[in-house]
Amino acid sequence: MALATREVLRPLTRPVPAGPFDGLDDSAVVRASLEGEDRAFTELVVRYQTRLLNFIYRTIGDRERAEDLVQEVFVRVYRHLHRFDQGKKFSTWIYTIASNLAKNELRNRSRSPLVYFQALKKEWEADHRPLQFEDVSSKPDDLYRKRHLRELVEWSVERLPEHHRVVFVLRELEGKSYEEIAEITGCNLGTVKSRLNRARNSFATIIAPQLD
Amino acid sequence: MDCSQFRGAYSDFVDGLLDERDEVARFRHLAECRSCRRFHEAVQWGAEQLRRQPQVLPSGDFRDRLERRLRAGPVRRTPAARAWSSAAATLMGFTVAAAALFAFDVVRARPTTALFAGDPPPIIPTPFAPVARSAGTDVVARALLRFEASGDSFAVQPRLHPAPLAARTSR
Repeated sequence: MALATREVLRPLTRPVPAGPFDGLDDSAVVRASLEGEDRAFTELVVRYQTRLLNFIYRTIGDRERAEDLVQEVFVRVYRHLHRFDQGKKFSTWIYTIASNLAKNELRNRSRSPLVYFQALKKEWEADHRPLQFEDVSSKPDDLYRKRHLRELVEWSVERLPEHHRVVFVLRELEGKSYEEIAEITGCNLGTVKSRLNRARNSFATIIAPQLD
Repeated sequence: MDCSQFRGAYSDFVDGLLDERDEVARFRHLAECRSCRRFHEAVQWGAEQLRRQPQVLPSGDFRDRLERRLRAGPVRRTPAARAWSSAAATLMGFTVAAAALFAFDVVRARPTTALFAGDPPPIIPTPFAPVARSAGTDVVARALLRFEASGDSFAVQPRLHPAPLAARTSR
């Protein structure tokens, strides 16, 4: 006879009163959520919704779809929180889920086997081509540069191969350490360093000609 | 140091993972090489611009939609609930096992002892005739005697045979 406890979900739209979880680290909030405190899970949503949205958006380039994926992240966290190893960092765990969903999204977009093969080929070439030096001879239009610098930076990130882009965003935007990035992406440290290095090289190759 | 060496370990340099000697060598190269200097400035500037961009915020109904999805999904079982469930299952198992052992003991004892089947033959202790008892009834009888002697009583207490004369007279 199962004695599963049905959680009473209070509306998440209700303003969360300040206080109970302020100053508590993620592990304490996770413990409270597992003990049945409804507001604890809401606190986790509040803490991570924007960060995850920006991470997934920068990775897949589609804001609307990124929001769907963030929702999926929280659904999975809610259902599997009891399996989370509380000795590990919660942020690494939730980012791992987000990273996997983002990667799956990018792969699912390549429905055509030919397109998928071309994406794989592009990734392999990005890992193995010699590092490029910038072309200092080009002088783009200054007005264009001033108007579109922000879009240029975003576009530069989007042009990075998928597996370079993930580590670049995790490092430059999310401030994750190499070890955390390795855990999130399931790669070893050497691979993380190599991909990050190539991502920065590619990024500079695109951006540098736009600067004086 | 040449440019390929500089860019080959660029991430280690930017993230402060080089030893002092390598770091100094790279700073020296930066001072001497315009191309790598522009490269370094481009990466630093671009990453800074990226960090300065306004964050994308969740839409207004994000939490409403999330709540609906959570309600529609399966119930989450907390560790406390799972612990209770596990304890209940264990208790159930012990109960079943105890009942089985009890039933087994009853069946095994039936040929020599009838707990509720009528009145056992009276045992009249005589100085010379030994009291005829079976092993099973003897154990139970001793238990009953102890309770009678202590003044406790069961709500329902079947007697296998009348208490021995000595126990009755001691109250």
